[in-house]
Amino acid sequence: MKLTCQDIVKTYGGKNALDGVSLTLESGKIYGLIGRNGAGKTTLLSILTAQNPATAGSVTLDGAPVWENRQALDQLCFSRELNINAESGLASMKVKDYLRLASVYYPHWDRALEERLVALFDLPVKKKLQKLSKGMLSMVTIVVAMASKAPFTFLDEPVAGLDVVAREQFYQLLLEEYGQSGRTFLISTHIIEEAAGVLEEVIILHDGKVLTVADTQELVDSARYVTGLAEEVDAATAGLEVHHAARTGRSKSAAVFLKPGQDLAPGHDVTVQPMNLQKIFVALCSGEGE
Amino acid sequence: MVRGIRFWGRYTLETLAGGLIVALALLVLSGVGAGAGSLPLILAGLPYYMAMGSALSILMVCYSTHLLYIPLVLSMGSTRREAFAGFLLFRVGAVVLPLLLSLVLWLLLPGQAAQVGLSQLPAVALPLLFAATLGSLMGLAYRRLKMLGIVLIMLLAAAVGAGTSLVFLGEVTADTFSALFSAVDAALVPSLAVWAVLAAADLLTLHFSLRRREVRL
Repeated sequence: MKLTCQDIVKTYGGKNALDGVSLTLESGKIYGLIGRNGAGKTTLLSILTAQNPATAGSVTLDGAPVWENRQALDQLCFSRELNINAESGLASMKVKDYLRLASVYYPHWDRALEERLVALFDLPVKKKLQKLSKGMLSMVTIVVAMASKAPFTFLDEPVAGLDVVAREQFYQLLLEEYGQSGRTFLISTHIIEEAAGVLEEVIILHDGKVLTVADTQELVDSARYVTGLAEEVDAATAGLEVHHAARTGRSKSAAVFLKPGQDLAPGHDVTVQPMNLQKIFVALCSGEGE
Repeated sequence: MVRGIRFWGRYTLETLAGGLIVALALLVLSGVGAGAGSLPLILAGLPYYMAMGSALSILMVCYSTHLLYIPLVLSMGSTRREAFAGFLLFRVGAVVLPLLLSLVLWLLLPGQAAQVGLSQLPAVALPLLFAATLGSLMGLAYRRLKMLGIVLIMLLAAAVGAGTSLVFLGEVTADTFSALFSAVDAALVPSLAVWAVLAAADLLTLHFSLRRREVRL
């Protein structure tokens, strides 16, 4: 199965929250969707799952439009971040009622997995959603995402509010479920370096546009952080893709992305360090430096 | 289809239960207000109380459907067509079930009051129909113009409070309801015409609203 979005545009009040986004998500992969606040991550996820109509563009599952298509929607699950406030209609809903509703609407729902995860997270199912902490709300969204058994499962900030132990539990759970079922997961997260270990492909969204879609390891392998005297750095990185160059006095630093077959020019007095995914993201999206 | 029936069917039954609770509360209050000597008359009023209680319950649930149930089912993969059909199914059930109960009650109860009640069944349906439509319109109003929705809810709460007080003070009895519904009966056709216009406006607004609605929980 392939979920494809083509030239997606979403406009709010004359401003494009998404501007010509095209992506193909394949079966059996774990994707990471990373971007700054307001980059359009949640908007993209909601459009992919037909919870938000696009201003332009299309979303298809194996060629069939997803919008108002029951068969296609049955293959998707968007477990969104729950923001419960006093005005939210969900505030007075109990956890068990929310999970029961999910079990009714997701056709592949796994009751045994739901019960196992509720016990694992020690979720107070009789409590109202408004009484839960941010971490507990995240656990509820994780239970829904996992137990839905949807072939394409989208999680929006699933680890928001979770402590480090709970986050590790989530990543373990994700890998376990992925290994057993081969489902496709797309996870949007701000805690990039932690998630990098489980993400096979990363999609970087910036200002409503897709900056890059790449194999995570290949992206990390292609990145170098180069520092030294400005003229040495410039010479070493000549003709290469340079981002986030910053000058301090006579020194300069820059993030460099090497294409296959490329390398830094030899014979220059520069320090070269590898970059992790988080540093790559900052280099691509911070908009600071030269 | 089945999942929609499961979800909306459950809320139909919960709405009916809410209406019954209100009806019993009104029955008890009217008993306190009227005194034990009027027991047969009080019981004959139970279907009226049930209709009013159900109307209140339907109105509140229809109002909150726009704020909670519709975004909820859409967030879990329902199509907009299914949400529209489900909400319609809910409202049909929420109107028909209390009417059926009223019919059965009046058939079982002896006396003239029950016979009068039976003849007024179409008039009794009217508040249920209006509640189902007005509740939805109020919910739509709240989504679009929050202050308007709040004002409408406050007016409704004031009316309910006033009505309950009158029942408690014995000012409103089964005879009152009978007279009220007789008046409604006399104006049944024009009332139904007004309802039909409101219902058409509600369904059209709901259809267009759902079509482009963005799910926000």
